[in-house]
Amino acid sequence: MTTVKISLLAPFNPPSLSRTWSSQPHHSLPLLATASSDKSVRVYSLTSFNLISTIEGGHKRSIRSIAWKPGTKGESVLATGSFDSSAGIWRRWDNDMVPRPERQEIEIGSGSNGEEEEEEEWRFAVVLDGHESEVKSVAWSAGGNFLATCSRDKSVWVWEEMEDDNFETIAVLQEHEGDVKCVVWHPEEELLASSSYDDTIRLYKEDIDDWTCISLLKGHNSTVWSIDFEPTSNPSLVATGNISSPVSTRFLEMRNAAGPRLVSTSDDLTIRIWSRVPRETDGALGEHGMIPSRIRTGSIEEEWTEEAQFPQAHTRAIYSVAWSKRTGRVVSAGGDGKIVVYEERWRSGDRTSTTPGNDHTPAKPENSQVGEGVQGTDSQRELTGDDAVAATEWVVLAEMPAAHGVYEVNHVCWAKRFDKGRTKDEEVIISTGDDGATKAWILGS
Amino acid sequence: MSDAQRFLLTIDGDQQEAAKVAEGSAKRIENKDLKLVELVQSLREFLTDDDATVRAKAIAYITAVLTALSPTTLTRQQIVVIRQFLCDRVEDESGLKEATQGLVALQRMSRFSGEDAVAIATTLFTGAHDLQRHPQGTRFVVLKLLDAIMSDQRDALKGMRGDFVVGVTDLVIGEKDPRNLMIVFSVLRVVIVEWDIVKYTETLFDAVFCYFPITFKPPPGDTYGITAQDLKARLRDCIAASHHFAGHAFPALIDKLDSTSPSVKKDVLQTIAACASNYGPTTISVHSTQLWDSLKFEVFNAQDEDLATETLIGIRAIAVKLSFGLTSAAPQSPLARFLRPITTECNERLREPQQKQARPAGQVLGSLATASPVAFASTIKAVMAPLLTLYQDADGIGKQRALLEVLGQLFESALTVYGLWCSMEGYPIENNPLDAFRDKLFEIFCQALMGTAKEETSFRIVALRGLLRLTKLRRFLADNEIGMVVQYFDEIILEEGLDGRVDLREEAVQALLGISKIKSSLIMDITIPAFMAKLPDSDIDGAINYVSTLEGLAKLGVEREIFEVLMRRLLNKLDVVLQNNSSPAYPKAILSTLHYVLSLRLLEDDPNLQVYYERLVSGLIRKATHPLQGIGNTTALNDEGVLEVMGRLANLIVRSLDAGRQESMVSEIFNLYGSPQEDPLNSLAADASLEQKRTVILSSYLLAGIRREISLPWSESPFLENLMYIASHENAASLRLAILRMISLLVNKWPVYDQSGPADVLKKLTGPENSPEDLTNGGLRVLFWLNKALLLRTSPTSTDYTSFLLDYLKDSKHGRQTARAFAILLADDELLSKSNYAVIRLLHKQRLFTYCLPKIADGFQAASAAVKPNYLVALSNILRHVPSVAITPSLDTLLPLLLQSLDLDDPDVKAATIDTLSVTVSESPQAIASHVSSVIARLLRAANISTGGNPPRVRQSALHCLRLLPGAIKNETLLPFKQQVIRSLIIALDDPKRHVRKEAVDCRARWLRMDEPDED
Amino acid sequence: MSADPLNANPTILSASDLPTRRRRPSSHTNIGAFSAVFSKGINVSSPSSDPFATSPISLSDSDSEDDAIIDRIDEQEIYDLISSISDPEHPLSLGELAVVNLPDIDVRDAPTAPFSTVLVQITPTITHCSLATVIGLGVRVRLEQALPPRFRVDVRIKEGTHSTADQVNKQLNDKERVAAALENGTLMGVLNKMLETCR
Repeated sequence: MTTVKISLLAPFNPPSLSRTWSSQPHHSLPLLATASSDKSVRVYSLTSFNLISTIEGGHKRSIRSIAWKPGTKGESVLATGSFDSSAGIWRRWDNDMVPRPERQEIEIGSGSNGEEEEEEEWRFAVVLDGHESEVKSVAWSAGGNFLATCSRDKSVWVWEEMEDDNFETIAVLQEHEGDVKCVVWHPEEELLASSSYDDTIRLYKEDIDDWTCISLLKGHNSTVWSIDFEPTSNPSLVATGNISSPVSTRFLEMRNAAGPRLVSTSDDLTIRIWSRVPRETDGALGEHGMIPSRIRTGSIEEEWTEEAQFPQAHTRAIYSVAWSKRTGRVVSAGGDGKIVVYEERWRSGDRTSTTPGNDHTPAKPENSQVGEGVQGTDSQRELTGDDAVAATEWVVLAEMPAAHGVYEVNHVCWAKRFDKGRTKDEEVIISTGDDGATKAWILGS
Repeated sequence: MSDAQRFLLTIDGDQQEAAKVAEGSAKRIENKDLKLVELVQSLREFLTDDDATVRAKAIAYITAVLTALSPTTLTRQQIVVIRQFLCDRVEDESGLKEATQGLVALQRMSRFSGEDAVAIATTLFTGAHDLQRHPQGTRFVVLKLLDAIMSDQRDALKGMRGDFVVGVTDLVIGEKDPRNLMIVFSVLRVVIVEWDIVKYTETLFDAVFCYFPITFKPPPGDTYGITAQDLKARLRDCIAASHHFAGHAFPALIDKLDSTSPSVKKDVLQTIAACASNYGPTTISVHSTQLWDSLKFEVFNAQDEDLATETLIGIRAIAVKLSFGLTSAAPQSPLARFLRPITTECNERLREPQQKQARPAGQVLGSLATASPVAFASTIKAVMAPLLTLYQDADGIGKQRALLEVLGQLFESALTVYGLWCSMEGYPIENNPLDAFRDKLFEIFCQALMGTAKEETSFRIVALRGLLRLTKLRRFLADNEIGMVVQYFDEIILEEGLDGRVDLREEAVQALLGISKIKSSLIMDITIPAFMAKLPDSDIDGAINYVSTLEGLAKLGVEREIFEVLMRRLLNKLDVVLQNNSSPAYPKAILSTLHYVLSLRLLEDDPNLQVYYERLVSGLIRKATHPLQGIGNTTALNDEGVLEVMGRLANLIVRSLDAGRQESMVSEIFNLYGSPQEDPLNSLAADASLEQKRTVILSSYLLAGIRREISLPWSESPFLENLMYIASHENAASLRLAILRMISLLVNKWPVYDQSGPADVLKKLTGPENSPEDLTNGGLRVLFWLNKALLLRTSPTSTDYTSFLLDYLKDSKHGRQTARAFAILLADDELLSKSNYAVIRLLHKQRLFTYCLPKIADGFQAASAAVKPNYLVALSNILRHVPSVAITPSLDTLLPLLLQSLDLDDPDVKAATIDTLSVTVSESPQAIASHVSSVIARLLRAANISTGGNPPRVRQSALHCLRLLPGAIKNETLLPFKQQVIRSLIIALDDPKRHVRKEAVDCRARWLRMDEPDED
Repeated sequence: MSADPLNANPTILSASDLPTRRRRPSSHTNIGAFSAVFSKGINVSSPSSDPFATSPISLSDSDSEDDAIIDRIDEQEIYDLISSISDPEHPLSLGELAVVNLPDIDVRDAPTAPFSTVLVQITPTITHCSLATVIGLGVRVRLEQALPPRFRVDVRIKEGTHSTADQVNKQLNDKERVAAALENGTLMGVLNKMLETCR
């Protein structure tokens, strides 16, 4: 069984007194923001795991989702999505926030201790009204110039930040037939993905100056709770496979052509990987099909197919998934209170390929990884054309039952490790649960 | 300066002074040295003054004088002059109020005539026609005047015929103030009833109905105490006052029926019912069907119960009115025309008996059937046959039960219309329409009760209730049929209910009790023998089913003749049981049955009291004590438990004997057992056998029954000391208790025994040689029971005892027991009670509490940690019996102690403390409000199993107390704790005991429902 | 709700027929104790409650006071929690209207399992009743407020008893939508009214 163990690094304290929906690490500073149903956001330090500041008074109902604006310098910008049908933008100068070890503000608004020189740390810069019902998720585009929000009113909005707190709605996408649960941006391109209560995932791009839906991913047979893109430079396979084998190199090239994949979790207890089918015209190697060839058919559609399904490890709705930028591993968590980590491995060679007409057996990638004989399901890849059978398989690397006691786990994500015990470039898993707690976990053998 | 000038000067500053001036003037008029006309002339210059307030004050002076005058002073002629003078002033805007007050005073005069009244009325109608422009006070006086003249000079005003009607209507139009409206409504009602309003029906109706429906909430701090209900009732009387309104009223009311507000709907329904009761039969017959069509929806789709009831009242009122003067419901009669659609509709709904609308259908039929015998007859004729056929082909017991319920309802109506066996009133019997269906109904209900499967309890209960009503219906069932029903009920009581399902058995017992009131002979001849036959001769083979049989007999034995039979047979059975050497439990059960029945009866004036004394007191005691002298051979009667019950039975009878009888029998009573000599307690002598000693239990019950004024046959002090000594050394609990009770009875009821203080008693108890320190528990116990007797009498020596005992709280050896023993002082005792002539002062509990609290509080502060709990335990054992009204004034000192008691781990103290807290929360919440945070914290801890030392009953009562807080204490005070409470109650939701979990769920739901102020 | 009720005439069960936790046959009618009829008059200063007795015998030592005996949360307890919820449209309870029935409740509460589950299947009074969602939400909110946090509450419309059962089931068991609904003042008002009658 899995030999890798997930163990608790530390709980962030003090915890919220009511359900904590989600969390996100700052893109550069050692900070973690968590959204809670007590209508507040808590900012903890990733070095000391202590609370640095609490942001209150902006929303009239639970805050469901938060997102740090990427690429900010000197000032941190945080977007909040709330059940009061609005999103909020909060700003704060960074110098105040570098955590002075001993000072620990609990209530900001109170302004009780006179000698605090800086005034209200977090400024509620702007309210983004427009949605007709609860906002479920907010996400900044990779470059930070677009903000996507989605809501139960079945719509996905894309906002562009003009100068000084002025946001403009540049797209209202209403293709979904149900409550939109999650929005996430492509790690590099201005490609937006959304998952919904209508069991589907949709992708959107800006075609000339108008955002349209370029792809519909069907497959799940219940609410798709959460999705995440693969990091552009996914190190896992490179590290695990031996580059020289002709099949794996050819396989990796194929993968590069397709671009980063998408992972999705659903109420139907499955976790699926989706990948883009590169169009024939840009079949030539090296051409990444990044720039839409407008001149040709002018169609911007993309076709995505289900590449793989993870082994079933959850017994109730899976609320959250995250694809690690550093290790390429995937972590999921859900209503059964479990946190599960998965890893992609080269398929062990002895099995004959399943797809007919494949003339060369894939080379046997020796497993440099310690994990032996882990049984993962084959990833059926309905590849058109003559491609080899999927050369990789997903395996359960580690499981942590009852991560938040008897309570459900609402959200998991990866974060760079900042506290003293870290090794170079190590990362942690952050989980938030119905018990209001937020916990940091480490993977170790 | 003339009186007038002095009045005018003082009226503003000092009202009394001005009134005195006016009285002076009135006196002078009465003794004729001042003429009224002169007085008026002396005011001429003020009356014509152009400053309105001066004019008003002048009139006010005249009014004051008139008010002061005695009614017979003014002559007819003077009255006319003054009346004309004041009427002229009515037009003068500012003086309206004073002038009217003058007229009010004037109309009190004995020679005031109808002609004056008519003149005043005319002036009001013309002069003050736009009344609403004036302030409320002025309007009030005008209306008061109108009301006054209408009550005294009504005939004269009637002479004005239509002009008066129009005048009043215009005058009151637009009135809004509740105080004024109360007069407006009563004035209008008189006009509507007594005047001929045919020509003015429209305007009058509008003037009245424009106020409907009344939505009025008395302003906070309202001193007039007029409620919306008063206004609604007065308005309702106006609307229902004259049948001429029917044409307008009913359509308007029906239109308002579909308002969404339940209170408006209720007002409409009650007004319809009022109109139906007041209007004549002919008017009602015109509107009856239209009314049924609109009321129908309300009955069958009632949102809540009391709207449905109001609707039924309305429908019944219509039926009662339409039955007026009818002896039979001829098909064409308005009643028949009204009932036909209703019975058809109900028959239709009853075809689906399990549906929601079947029940209201039954209710409509039940209530209509009680309207009159005619209505009853036509309802039965219309519905009985279809109901019976429906019952025949009903598939499934659910449907049948619903139909039986409807039939039962009709039987209930029959009881109201045709009366019970023993009731004299009710209608002639011969035409009870149910007779036609008698056999069929009797058969159905008997079959339903006895023919169906045993576990169909709810179905058989409905059948049983129906049968009971049939047996009660006067001259409906023959005696033999009722006898059969009695046998069915006996069978249910004797055979069923052993499997824990006792509801049917309880119903059968109650039913037999009902029948015993109307046909006691049947019970005596059928039930008693049946029950007696069930009683085994002995319980050697472990049979215990006799308990339920005896219980049945106990409940049925209430009627006197039945008790005579029961007593005789039970005493015979007792002998049989004793001869078959059963265990003591059986005779105890028999005696308890007799005790239970007698305890429900007033024995003082019972003719058979002497018989009871012979058979149940001397007879039984002789039987119980004779084995001591080797005569009888039974020992079962000598069992402690049996002696307790026998003592209680004897006490019940002895205490009912009057002083005379007790005087003659007091020595004989105590010689019932043991050989007759001076000290009856030789049974307690050291060498007495255990059986002899046990008779002291009887002595205590007998002593309790003796009246205070009877002198006891023994010498005082040595007897008491003897008792005290024995009590302090006796260790058989029940004997010791009996002796302690006798000590208390002696000291409480016969003061001659009460001289020594605690110190001397102590010396006597411990004997000269040893010191008070090695006072045994026994000694302490005697002191407590002595103090109990003194305390009830609030005798001064009791304070010495109490402080003596309080000092023992800090005693390391006896402190703990002393603290617990404080419960003895105030606990109710069966023997030391008012009915046993004990002297019980009203406020003795409060006095002890107010005496002990400060001492306990100080003792607690001063005490060492080990001994501190004793004070809290003592406090809680006192508090447990003190009425909460006594506790409230000293809550500030008490609460801190209570809260600390919650920190003890003695479960009994915690339970007692929480009970006291619960009472305080509901009765004086403000006292708790200032300590709410520590109260909540401690209650949460007491409700939590993991804190240890909290048995389930403590956890449950803590949760119950927590649940009382919201609602008793203001939300603002509690809201800061809401989140903390809701979170910490989560543990209690998982309590291992289900009844504790239930309390936790209710408590948490209550706190969750406390609304958040910022709830958008 | 005075508009014409959707289902004016539902079938009703009589309250006394509804499943209750039957009292165990009164085991204590043994020889010593008497039923209520005779115990009238036994007072507190009876020998058994002598404060000086070394070990005060607490009067009620039956198993309701013994913490060692654990009463498991079973289907009957769940039924008792939800059967007294009142229907939003009628002055009747979900038990009387047979919307909730004992056989349609399933509890899994093994001490060793990481979490426990309660499945309640509700039977709407008529097949297209639009109130099914509100009733389902009422049941779910009542159970979530009354049960310990280890319980996962699933509320489903019973098979074949409702035209749009799937949509309703999906909505009822979407944790996020239920949480959002509980923060909506007007809806909570309706639910609180339904839960007020709970005994």
